[in-house]
Amino acid sequence: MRAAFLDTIKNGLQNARDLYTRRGEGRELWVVEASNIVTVPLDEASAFFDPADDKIYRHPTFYDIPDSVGHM
Amino acid sequence: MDKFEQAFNELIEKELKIEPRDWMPEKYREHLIRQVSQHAHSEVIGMQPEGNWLLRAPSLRAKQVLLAKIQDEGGHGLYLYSVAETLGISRQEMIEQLHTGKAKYSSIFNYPTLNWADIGAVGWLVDGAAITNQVSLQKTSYGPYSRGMVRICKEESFHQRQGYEIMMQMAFGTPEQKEMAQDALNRFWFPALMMFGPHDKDSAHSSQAMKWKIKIESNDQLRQKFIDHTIKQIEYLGLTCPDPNCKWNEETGHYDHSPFNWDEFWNVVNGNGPCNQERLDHHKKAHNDNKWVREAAAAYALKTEAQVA
Ligand SMILES: [Fe+2]
Ligand SMILES: [Fe+2]
Repeated sequence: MRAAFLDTIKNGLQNARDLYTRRGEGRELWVVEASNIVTVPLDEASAFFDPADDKIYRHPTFYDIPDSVGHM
Repeated sequence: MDKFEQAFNELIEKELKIEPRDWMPEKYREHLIRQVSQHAHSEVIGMQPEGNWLLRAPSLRAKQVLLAKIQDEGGHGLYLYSVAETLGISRQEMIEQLHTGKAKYSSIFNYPTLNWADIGAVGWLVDGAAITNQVSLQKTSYGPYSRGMVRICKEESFHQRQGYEIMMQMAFGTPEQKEMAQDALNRFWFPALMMFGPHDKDSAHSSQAMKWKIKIESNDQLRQKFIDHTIKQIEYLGLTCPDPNCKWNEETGHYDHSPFNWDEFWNVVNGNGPCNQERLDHHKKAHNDNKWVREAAAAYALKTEAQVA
Protein backbone atom coordinates (compact mmCIF):
# COMPACT_ATOMS: atom_id res chain seq x y z
CA MET A 1 0.00 0.00 0.00
CA ARG A 2 1.18 3.50 -0.71
CA ALA A 3 2.47 5.59 2.18
CA ALA A 4 0.32 8.51 1.10
CA PHE A 5 -2.78 6.34 1.33
CA LEU A 6 -1.89 5.16 4.83
CA ASP A 7 -1.32 8.73 5.84
CA THR A 8 -4.77 9.82 4.65
CA ILE A 9 -6.49 6.99 6.45
CA LYS A 10 -4.63 7.79 9.63
CA ASN A 11 -5.51 11.46 9.40
CA GLY A 12 -9.07 10.52 8.65
CA LEU A 13 -9.22 8.41 11.75
CA GLN A 14 -7.72 11.18 13.89
CA ASN A 15 -10.13 13.75 12.50
CA ALA A 16 -13.07 11.43 13.04
CA ARG A 17 -11.90 10.81 16.58
CA ASP A 18 -11.70 14.52 17.23
CA LEU A 19 -15.14 15.18 15.82
CA TYR A 20 -17.26 12.17 16.71
CA THR A 21 -16.04 10.94 20.08
CA ARG A 22 -16.21 14.08 22.21
CA ARG A 23 -18.96 12.79 24.45
CA GLY A 24 -18.18 9.08 24.46
CA GLU A 25 -20.77 8.43 21.73
CA GLY A 26 -19.14 5.30 20.44
CA ARG A 27 -16.25 2.96 20.76
CA GLU A 28 -15.56 2.16 17.13
CA LEU A 29 -15.00 4.24 13.99
CA TRP A 30 -14.83 3.13 10.38
CA VAL A 31 -12.83 5.23 7.97
CA VAL A 32 -12.92 4.54 4.24
CA GLU A 33 -11.13 6.45 1.50
CA ALA A 34 -13.74 8.32 -0.55
CA SER A 35 -12.58 6.68 -3.78
CA ASN A 36 -13.41 3.28 -2.29
CA ILE A 37 -17.03 4.16 -1.65
CA VAL A 38 -19.30 2.85 -4.37
CA THR A 39 -22.42 4.96 -4.86
CA VAL A 40 -25.30 5.31 -7.26
CA PRO A 41 -24.40 7.81 -10.00
CA LEU A 42 -26.33 11.03 -9.46
CA ASP A 43 -28.00 11.00 -12.89
CA GLU A 44 -29.31 7.47 -12.30
CA ALA A 45 -30.48 7.99 -8.76
CA SER A 46 -34.17 8.55 -9.47
CA ALA A 47 -34.50 5.51 -11.73
CA PHE A 48 -32.54 3.50 -9.19
CA PHE A 49 -34.86 4.23 -6.29
CA ASP A 50 -38.28 4.86 -7.84
CA PRO A 51 -39.39 1.21 -8.05
CA ALA A 52 -40.14 1.56 -4.33
CA ASP A 53 -42.47 4.53 -4.84
CA ASP A 54 -45.63 2.62 -5.73
CA LYS A 55 -45.15 -0.23 -3.27
CA ILE A 56 -47.02 1.34 -0.40
CA TYR A 57 -48.02 -2.13 0.81
CA ARG A 58 -44.52 -2.47 2.26
CA HIS A 59 -45.49 0.02 4.97
CA PRO A 60 -47.38 -0.99 8.09
CA THR A 61 -49.86 1.88 7.70
CA PHE A 62 -51.19 0.27 4.51
CA TYR A 63 -53.15 -2.18 6.69
CA ASP A 64 -56.18 -1.14 8.75
CA ILE A 65 -55.85 -2.89 12.08
CA PRO A 66 -58.20 -1.80 14.89
CA ASP A 67 -56.48 -0.12 17.84
CA SER A 68 -58.38 -2.32 20.25
CA VAL A 69 -56.24 -5.40 19.46
CA GLY A 70 -53.10 -3.68 20.74
CA HIS A 71 -49.90 -2.59 19.08
CA MET A 72 -48.85 -4.61 16.06
CA MET B 1 -8.20 -13.41 34.17
CA ASP B 2 -6.16 -11.59 31.54
CA LYS B 3 -6.74 -8.00 30.50
CA PHE B 4 -8.65 -9.00 27.35
CA GLU B 5 -11.17 -11.03 29.27
CA GLN B 6 -11.48 -8.24 31.78
CA ALA B 7 -12.16 -5.72 29.03
CA PHE B 8 -14.81 -8.05 27.55
CA ASN B 9 -16.51 -8.49 30.92
CA GLU B 10 -16.53 -4.76 31.47
CA LEU B 11 -18.21 -4.13 28.13
CA ILE B 12 -20.89 -6.69 28.95
CA GLU B 13 -21.30 -5.26 32.43
CA LYS B 14 -21.79 -1.73 31.09
CA GLU B 15 -24.18 -2.97 28.39
CA LEU B 16 -21.93 -1.69 25.62
CA LYS B 17 -21.63 -3.61 22.37
CA ILE B 18 -19.00 -6.19 21.50
CA GLU B 19 -17.62 -5.45 18.00
CA PRO B 20 -16.01 -7.90 15.55
CA ARG B 21 -12.47 -6.71 16.30
CA ASP B 22 -12.89 -7.16 20.08
CA TRP B 23 -11.52 -10.12 21.97
CA MET B 24 -14.32 -12.47 22.99
CA PRO B 25 -14.43 -15.86 24.73
CA GLU B 26 -14.45 -18.75 22.24
CA LYS B 27 -17.73 -19.98 23.73
CA TYR B 28 -19.33 -16.58 23.20
CA ARG B 29 -18.27 -16.65 19.57
CA GLU B 30 -19.51 -20.23 19.12
CA HIS B 31 -22.82 -19.50 20.75
CA LEU B 32 -23.38 -16.51 18.50
CA ILE B 33 -22.36 -18.34 15.34
CA ARG B 34 -24.85 -21.06 16.17
CA GLN B 35 -27.64 -18.68 17.09
CA VAL B 36 -27.17 -16.20 14.24
CA SER B 37 -26.68 -18.82 11.52
CA GLN B 38 -29.79 -20.67 12.69
CA HIS B 39 -31.66 -17.39 12.73
CA ALA B 40 -30.49 -16.75 9.15
CA HIS B 41 -31.48 -20.25 8.01
CA SER B 42 -34.92 -19.76 9.58
CA GLU B 43 -35.52 -16.59 7.58
CA VAL B 44 -34.55 -18.36 4.36
CA ILE B 45 -36.35 -21.68 4.94
CA GLY B 46 -39.35 -19.70 6.18
CA MET B 47 -39.88 -18.44 2.64
CA GLN B 48 -41.00 -21.92 1.54
CA PRO B 49 -44.30 -22.40 3.41
CA GLU B 50 -45.38 -18.93 2.26
CA GLY B 51 -44.09 -19.43 -1.27
CA ASN B 52 -46.46 -22.37 -1.44
CA TRP B 53 -49.37 -19.90 -1.77
CA LEU B 54 -47.84 -17.31 -4.09
CA LEU B 55 -49.39 -18.72 -7.23
CA ARG B 56 -52.70 -19.35 -5.50
CA ALA B 57 -53.10 -16.04 -3.70
CA PRO B 58 -56.79 -15.05 -4.02
CA SER B 59 -56.17 -11.60 -5.57
CA LEU B 60 -53.46 -9.57 -7.26
CA ARG B 61 -53.25 -7.40 -4.16
CA ALA B 62 -52.79 -10.44 -1.92
CA LYS B 63 -50.11 -11.76 -4.25
CA GLN B 64 -48.17 -8.45 -4.27
CA VAL B 65 -48.25 -8.26 -0.49
CA LEU B 66 -47.18 -11.87 -0.01
CA LEU B 67 -44.38 -11.52 -2.54
CA ALA B 68 -43.07 -8.38 -0.81
CA LYS B 69 -43.21 -10.14 2.55
CA ILE B 70 -41.32 -13.19 1.32
CA GLN B 71 -38.74 -10.91 -0.31
CA ASP B 72 -38.18 -9.23 3.06
CA GLU B 73 -37.53 -12.61 4.69
CA GLY B 74 -34.87 -13.37 2.09
CA GLY B 75 -33.32 -10.00 2.92
CA HIS B 76 -33.36 -10.81 6.64
CA GLY B 77 -31.46 -13.99 5.87
CA LEU B 78 -28.82 -11.96 4.01
CA TYR B 79 -28.37 -9.46 6.87
CA LEU B 80 -27.97 -12.31 9.33
CA TYR B 81 -25.50 -14.31 7.21
CA SER B 82 -23.42 -11.13 7.04
CA VAL B 83 -23.56 -10.81 10.83
CA ALA B 84 -22.39 -14.41 11.24
CA GLU B 85 -19.56 -13.80 8.75
CA THR B 86 -18.15 -11.09 11.04
CA LEU B 87 -17.64 -13.87 13.60
CA GLY B 88 -15.38 -15.82 11.28
CA ILE B 89 -17.59 -18.38 9.54
CA SER B 90 -18.09 -18.33 5.77
CA ARG B 91 -21.44 -18.42 4.08
CA GLN B 92 -20.47 -21.61 2.31
CA GLU B 93 -19.78 -23.32 5.63
CA MET B 94 -23.13 -22.19 6.95
CA ILE B 95 -24.98 -23.55 3.93
CA GLU B 96 -23.10 -26.84 4.28
CA GLN B 97 -24.08 -27.08 7.93
CA LEU B 98 -27.69 -26.49 6.97
CA HIS B 99 -27.54 -29.20 4.32
CA THR B 100 -25.87 -31.80 6.57
CA GLY B 101 -28.33 -31.05 9.36
CA LYS B 102 -25.65 -29.78 11.73
CA ALA B 103 -27.31 -26.36 11.79
CA LYS B 104 -31.02 -26.24 12.54
CA TYR B 105 -33.67 -23.70 11.69
CA SER B 106 -36.88 -22.82 13.45
CA SER B 107 -39.08 -25.92 13.65
CA ILE B 108 -42.22 -23.97 12.84
CA PHE B 109 -41.30 -24.02 9.15
CA ASN B 110 -41.57 -27.79 9.07
CA TYR B 111 -45.34 -27.49 9.25
CA PRO B 112 -47.34 -27.27 6.02
CA THR B 113 -49.52 -24.32 4.97
CA LEU B 114 -52.75 -26.09 4.04
CA ASN B 115 -55.29 -23.35 3.43
CA TRP B 116 -55.17 -19.62 2.63
CA ALA B 117 -55.89 -18.71 6.26
CA ASP B 118 -52.59 -20.39 7.12
CA ILE B 119 -50.83 -17.50 5.40
CA GLY B 120 -52.73 -15.17 7.70
CA ALA B 121 -51.83 -17.28 10.74
CA VAL B 122 -48.17 -17.38 9.75
CA GLY B 123 -47.90 -13.59 9.47
CA TRP B 124 -49.93 -13.00 12.62
CA LEU B 125 -48.57 -15.74 14.91
CA VAL B 126 -45.24 -16.90 13.48
CA ASP B 127 -43.98 -13.42 12.58
CA GLY B 128 -45.62 -12.17 15.77
CA ALA B 129 -43.63 -14.62 17.89
CA ALA B 130 -40.46 -13.87 15.91
CA ILE B 131 -40.99 -10.12 16.42
CA THR B 132 -41.38 -10.56 20.19
CA ASN B 133 -38.03 -12.34 20.20
CA GLN B 134 -36.36 -9.93 17.80
CA VAL B 135 -37.50 -6.79 19.62
CA SER B 136 -35.74 -8.16 22.68
CA LEU B 137 -32.64 -9.07 20.62
CA GLN B 138 -32.24 -5.43 19.55
CA LYS B 139 -30.48 -5.07 22.91
CA THR B 140 -28.20 -8.08 22.41
CA SER B 141 -24.54 -7.57 23.33
CA TYR B 142 -23.04 -8.30 19.90
CA GLY B 143 -23.04 -5.03 17.92
CA PRO B 144 -23.66 -6.26 14.37
CA TYR B 145 -26.46 -8.59 15.52
CA SER B 146 -28.08 -5.82 17.52
CA ARG B 147 -28.01 -3.35 14.63
CA GLY B 148 -29.34 -6.02 12.26
CA MET B 149 -32.26 -6.60 14.63
CA VAL B 150 -33.14 -2.90 14.68
CA ARG B 151 -33.49 -2.90 10.91
CA ILE B 152 -35.32 -6.23 10.79
CA CYS B 153 -37.84 -5.12 13.42
CA LYS B 154 -38.68 -2.03 11.35
CA GLU B 155 -39.41 -4.25 8.36
CA GLU B 156 -41.34 -6.84 10.37
CA SER B 157 -44.10 -4.48 11.39
CA PHE B 158 -45.92 -4.89 8.09
CA HIS B 159 -45.55 -8.68 8.16
CA GLN B 160 -47.71 -9.19 11.20
CA ARG B 161 -50.28 -6.64 10.12
CA GLN B 162 -50.75 -8.19 6.68
CA GLY B 163 -51.22 -11.57 8.40
CA TYR B 164 -53.80 -10.21 10.79
CA GLU B 165 -55.60 -8.51 7.89
CA ILE B 166 -55.97 -11.91 6.20
CA MET B 167 -57.26 -13.36 9.47
CA MET B 168 -59.87 -10.57 9.72
CA GLN B 169 -61.01 -11.16 6.14
CA MET B 170 -61.36 -14.88 6.78
CA ALA B 171 -62.87 -14.66 10.28
CA PHE B 172 -65.44 -12.03 9.20
CA GLY B 173 -66.15 -13.80 5.88
CA THR B 174 -68.41 -16.76 5.11
CA PRO B 175 -68.88 -19.54 7.70
CA GLU B 176 -66.52 -21.72 5.65
CA GLN B 177 -63.85 -19.01 5.68
CA LYS B 178 -64.26 -18.56 9.42
CA GLU B 179 -63.82 -22.30 9.84
CA MET B 180 -60.59 -22.16 7.84
CA ALA B 181 -59.35 -19.33 10.08
CA GLN B 182 -60.13 -21.38 13.20
CA ASP B 183 -58.44 -24.43 11.68
CA ALA B 184 -55.30 -22.43 10.94
CA LEU B 185 -55.24 -21.03 14.48
CA ASN B 186 -55.71 -24.53 15.91
CA ARG B 187 -52.73 -25.91 14.02
CA PHE B 188 -50.35 -22.97 14.51
CA TRP B 189 -51.05 -21.95 18.12
CA PHE B 190 -48.91 -24.48 19.99
CA PRO B 191 -46.07 -24.67 17.44
CA ALA B 192 -45.88 -20.84 17.53
CA LEU B 193 -45.60 -20.87 21.32
CA MET B 194 -42.90 -23.54 21.18
CA MET B 195 -40.89 -21.27 18.84
CA PHE B 196 -39.63 -19.55 21.99
CA GLY B 197 -37.75 -22.72 22.88
CA PRO B 198 -37.66 -25.00 25.94
CA HIS B 199 -38.72 -23.78 29.39
CA ASP B 200 -36.07 -21.83 31.27
CA LYS B 201 -35.50 -24.63 33.74
CA ASP B 202 -34.62 -27.01 30.86
CA SER B 203 -32.45 -24.63 28.91
CA ALA B 204 -28.76 -24.70 29.82
CA HIS B 205 -27.63 -22.75 26.74
CA SER B 206 -30.06 -20.03 27.53
CA SER B 207 -28.76 -19.12 30.99
CA GLN B 208 -25.17 -18.70 29.75
CA ALA B 209 -26.48 -16.60 26.87
CA MET B 210 -28.27 -14.39 29.38
CA LYS B 211 -25.10 -13.92 31.44
CA TRP B 212 -23.39 -12.70 28.29
CA LYS B 213 -26.46 -10.60 27.45
CA ILE B 214 -26.75 -12.30 24.08
CA LYS B 215 -30.30 -12.97 25.26
CA ILE B 216 -31.95 -10.28 27.31
CA GLU B 217 -35.21 -11.98 28.25
CA SER B 218 -35.71 -15.69 28.86
CA ASN B 219 -37.72 -18.08 26.68
CA ASP B 220 -40.57 -18.24 29.19
CA GLN B 221 -40.70 -14.47 29.68
CA LEU B 222 -40.91 -13.84 25.96
CA ARG B 223 -43.48 -16.58 25.45
CA GLN B 224 -45.69 -15.19 28.21
CA LYS B 225 -45.42 -11.70 26.75
CA PHE B 226 -46.58 -13.04 23.39
CA ILE B 227 -49.51 -15.00 24.85
CA ASP B 228 -50.72 -12.05 26.92
CA HIS B 229 -50.57 -9.80 23.89
CA THR B 230 -52.25 -12.21 21.46
CA ILE B 231 -55.34 -13.34 23.37
CA LYS B 232 -57.28 -10.13 22.75
CA GLN B 233 -56.44 -10.46 19.06
CA ILE B 234 -58.02 -13.93 19.03
CA GLU B 235 -61.08 -12.54 20.81
CA TYR B 236 -61.48 -9.67 18.35
CA LEU B 237 -61.57 -12.19 15.50
CA GLY B 238 -64.32 -14.11 17.30
CA LEU B 239 -62.17 -17.23 17.24
CA THR B 240 -61.43 -19.63 20.09
CA CYS B 241 -58.00 -20.26 21.56
CA PRO B 242 -57.31 -23.96 21.00
CA ASP B 243 -55.95 -24.25 24.54
CA PRO B 244 -58.90 -24.73 26.95
CA ASN B 245 -56.61 -23.76 29.85
CA CYS B 246 -55.69 -20.43 28.37
CA LYS B 247 -57.45 -18.30 31.00
CA TRP B 248 -56.63 -15.06 32.74
CA ASN B 249 -54.93 -15.72 36.06
CA GLU B 250 -55.73 -12.97 38.57
CA GLU B 251 -52.87 -14.00 40.84
CA THR B 252 -50.04 -14.02 38.31
CA GLY B 253 -51.45 -11.23 36.17
CA HIS B 254 -50.91 -13.41 33.08
CA TYR B 255 -52.75 -15.90 30.94
CA ASP B 256 -52.19 -19.57 31.85
CA HIS B 257 -51.44 -22.26 29.29
CA SER B 258 -51.53 -26.05 29.16
CA PRO B 259 -48.27 -28.02 29.27
CA PHE B 260 -46.70 -28.19 25.82
CA ASN B 261 -46.08 -31.35 23.87
CA TRP B 262 -42.29 -31.21 23.96
CA ASP B 263 -42.02 -34.72 22.50
CA GLU B 264 -43.58 -33.39 19.33
CA PHE B 265 -41.29 -30.36 19.41
CA TRP B 266 -38.10 -32.43 19.69
CA ASN B 267 -39.36 -34.90 17.17
CA VAL B 268 -39.72 -32.08 14.64
CA VAL B 269 -36.37 -30.51 15.62
CA ASN B 270 -34.74 -33.88 15.02
CA GLY B 271 -35.98 -34.06 11.48
CA ASN B 272 -39.28 -35.95 11.71
CA GLY B 273 -41.80 -33.15 11.24
CA PRO B 274 -44.30 -33.19 8.38
CA CYS B 275 -42.11 -31.14 6.00
CA ASN B 276 -38.48 -31.40 7.20
CA GLN B 277 -37.34 -33.48 4.26
CA GLU B 278 -39.20 -31.39 1.71
CA ARG B 279 -37.78 -28.10 3.06
CA LEU B 280 -34.19 -29.31 3.01
CA ASP B 281 -34.50 -31.04 -0.36
CA HIS B 282 -35.94 -27.87 -1.85
CA HIS B 283 -33.12 -25.73 -0.46
CA LYS B 284 -30.46 -28.16 -1.73
CA LYS B 285 -32.05 -28.31 -5.15
CA ALA B 286 -32.29 -24.52 -5.46
CA HIS B 287 -28.71 -24.15 -4.25
CA ASN B 288 -27.39 -26.69 -6.75
CA ASP B 289 -29.54 -25.51 -9.64
CA ASN B 290 -28.22 -21.99 -9.14
CA LYS B 291 -24.59 -22.97 -9.04
CA TRP B 292 -24.04 -21.63 -12.56
CA VAL B 293 -25.31 -18.21 -11.50
CA ARG B 294 -22.74 -17.98 -8.71
CA GLU B 295 -20.01 -19.14 -11.07
CA ALA B 296 -21.01 -16.68 -13.76
CA ALA B 297 -21.13 -13.82 -11.25
CA ALA B 298 -17.66 -14.71 -9.95
CA ALA B 299 -16.25 -14.94 -13.49
CA TYR B 300 -17.82 -11.61 -14.43
CA ALA B 301 -16.45 -9.92 -11.30
CA LEU B 302 -12.99 -11.25 -12.04
CA LYS B 303 -13.15 -9.96 -15.61
CA THR B 304 -14.56 -6.50 -14.88
CA GLU B 305 -12.41 -5.86 -11.82
CA ALA B 306 -9.32 -6.80 -13.81
CA GLN B 307 -10.34 -4.15 -16.36
CA VAL B 308 -10.67 -1.44 -13.70
CA ALA B 309 -7.22 -2.20 -12.30
FE1 LIG C 1 -37.94 -12.04 9.09
FE1 LIG D 1 -41.25 -11.53 8.92
